[in-house]
Amino acid sequence: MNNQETPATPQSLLSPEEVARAKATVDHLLSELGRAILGQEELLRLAVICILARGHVLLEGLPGLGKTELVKSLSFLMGLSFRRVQFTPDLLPGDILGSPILEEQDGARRLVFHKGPIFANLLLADEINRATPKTQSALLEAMQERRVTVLGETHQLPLPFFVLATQNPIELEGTYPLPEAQLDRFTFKISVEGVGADTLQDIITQRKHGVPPQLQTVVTGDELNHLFELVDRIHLPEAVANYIARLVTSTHASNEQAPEIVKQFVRYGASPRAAIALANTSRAAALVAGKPNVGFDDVKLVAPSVLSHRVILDYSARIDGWENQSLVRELVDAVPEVSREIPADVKV
Amino acid sequence: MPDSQRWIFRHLRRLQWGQFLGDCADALSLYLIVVGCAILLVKMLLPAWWPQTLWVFAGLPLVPLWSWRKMRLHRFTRTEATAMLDQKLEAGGLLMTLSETPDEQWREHLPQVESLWRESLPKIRPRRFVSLLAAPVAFVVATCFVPVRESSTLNAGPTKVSEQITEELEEMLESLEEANVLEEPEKEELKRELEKFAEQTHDQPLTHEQWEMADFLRQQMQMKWEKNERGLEAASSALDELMSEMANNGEISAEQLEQFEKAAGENLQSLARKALDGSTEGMSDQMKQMLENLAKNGKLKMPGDAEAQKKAMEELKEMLENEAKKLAEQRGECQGLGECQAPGQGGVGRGRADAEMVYGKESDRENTKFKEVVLPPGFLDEPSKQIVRMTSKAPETDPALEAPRAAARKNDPAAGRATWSRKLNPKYRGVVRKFFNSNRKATPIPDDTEL
Repeated sequence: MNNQETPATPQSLLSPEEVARAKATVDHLLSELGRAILGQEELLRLAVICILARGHVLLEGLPGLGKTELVKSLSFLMGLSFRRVQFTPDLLPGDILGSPILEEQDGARRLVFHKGPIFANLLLADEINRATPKTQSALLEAMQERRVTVLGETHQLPLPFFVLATQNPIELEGTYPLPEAQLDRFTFKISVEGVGADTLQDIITQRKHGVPPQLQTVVTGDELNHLFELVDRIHLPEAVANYIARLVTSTHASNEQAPEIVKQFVRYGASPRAAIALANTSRAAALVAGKPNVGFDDVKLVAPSVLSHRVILDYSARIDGWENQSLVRELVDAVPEVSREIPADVKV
Repeated sequence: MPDSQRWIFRHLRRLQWGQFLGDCADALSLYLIVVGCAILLVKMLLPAWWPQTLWVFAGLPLVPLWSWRKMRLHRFTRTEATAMLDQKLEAGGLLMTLSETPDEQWREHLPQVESLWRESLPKIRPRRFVSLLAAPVAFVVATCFVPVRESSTLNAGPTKVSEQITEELEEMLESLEEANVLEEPEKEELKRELEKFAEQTHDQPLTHEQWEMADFLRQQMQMKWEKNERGLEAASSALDELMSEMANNGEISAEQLEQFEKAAGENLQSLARKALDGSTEGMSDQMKQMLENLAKNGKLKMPGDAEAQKKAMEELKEMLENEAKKLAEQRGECQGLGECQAPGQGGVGRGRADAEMVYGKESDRENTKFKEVVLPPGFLDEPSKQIVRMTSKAPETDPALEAPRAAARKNDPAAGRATWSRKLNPKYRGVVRKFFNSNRKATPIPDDTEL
């Protein structure tokens, strides 16, 4: 699992068999996840897409909706090492990254670096917004470059490395909202919604004391690496790439092509990192859908999760009742897939 | 298996055609509107350019060429056309992908039914093209039927107007000379005035004083016409009286003959001048002799013989009728001269610019006759004030009728009956009844204890 940063250059399309096998694996993963987390198919699909795109996920939702359980299930099913850190205001960066400890070995004393919980394939940062900005920023280097530096020593994190963080949208007293730079490093921000009565009935009848079913690993490390390779080989057509670029630039109010709603309510738009994340996650979404290429629909599927936390709204947007998610959905509807409109003298 | 590249090409062609039609319709509409406006402007302001303006239609074929060139510069790319077709086919990006990276295995996953591809092609909409052009074409055609504005004499300018007025006055004078209406001193005086007027107005616009001068000269000349005509009429009526006298009595008295000769001598000077000038076509020698005598002596000497008198009178009558007729014709020709019919040639003191200035319809100052109109009998505004009779002493009055109403009621119990019997508007009857009806019941006043 050490070739995560060196994707194979796509030269030819994936064969239908390769795509079918990958889809079968992903479907199996999703079905197993569905056993653990009931009634959240859309959430599971997005989480898997983000994992396949090697992105970090920020899950936002009320307590008890299964955020932590989702992360734990993912780690079990993919055979990844898993650590959970409960973020609190008194948590220090060293508590996450690890710290050098003075040890005596062979009669000599020296500082030995003790790895923190971040040295895992999957880190669950529970209630990340309760830690201080200092502790939150300890994750910056790890999330972007998959390594940590302590006392001048750089330590490579195990690959693949994912941060799945959760945060509670209520009880904001004593919390530290994530800075924009930190938010930008999360590929997806997914709002976890509640489930319906039928799902709740299933939960209380099928699970005693809420204990989830015993899960088995369905994706090995090699298979996961192979899936990563396949995602990288998903073809991104020129027109779709153009659509992604226009979609991201349209989040900027200064852009002439931006919809009126953006010009009115958006203070800062998404960064180029958002465009990269959108392309990567669209590729993953295409593979999950069993396609060798990205289509406009794949981009539209992931765009709200990629862009919503990267767009900073004006105060007037909040006065008018606009949320990031709803505004990004409106933006996706407003930006045409093809930059040119069909001439009026032809009827489609 | 459908050839996707061929369908992409067809799709691209259709889009380009649509683009061309749209551009062409917009450009043609604009062009036609501009041409229509140009035609209107030319017809209204520059009528001399009218037929040549139609050359602007020569640029019509250039508009489609320009639209085609514009379409070529901003045409749909193959990528865009492929993306649109992909969306229409709901291929999920596979068509775009295969267009960029051909793959035989995946090609089978594209729609295999050719009708689906055909239905995905955009259809040309000529109706929109035609509807866009209909209004501009109608506008251009309508402007072609707008009549060209006629050149106005206003374009002549102020100096040209003064020349025209001078020429017209000179023409009037010539007509007067031809008709031998003017006596020599009058002719000389008018000529002098006219020369002076021509000098003052040469290459200069007319001032209000010069307009008045022109009016005065024209009036003078018209008065000569009228004077001459009246003279002929007087002579003719005198001759009629003389002839009727002769017809009634068989002869005329010396006194009547002398009166006629005197009247003829006063009024037939123009005829005498003609005779003296030799304009004696169709005139008998006797008449010629008589008129020459008239020109020399100022008196028409009729022959002494009754038969000759009668003959001379008949010839004279015929000659007077001919002369009156001829003068009327000449005056009719001369009537319109010098009168400003066109708007804007009247000067600031001559009324509204576009008003028609017509002279000659004024009432005859010397022989004004009003038609007698019998007015209807007068009447009084109020019949009560009609005079009943005239008495030599003060009238006796009835106190019951003349006194104030209270006194009248005291004397006559029936007085005021008219007030009671007066018809009242139904909507006020209730109010009147409420206050004047003696049988009405008093409104009960609510007791405080009941509250």
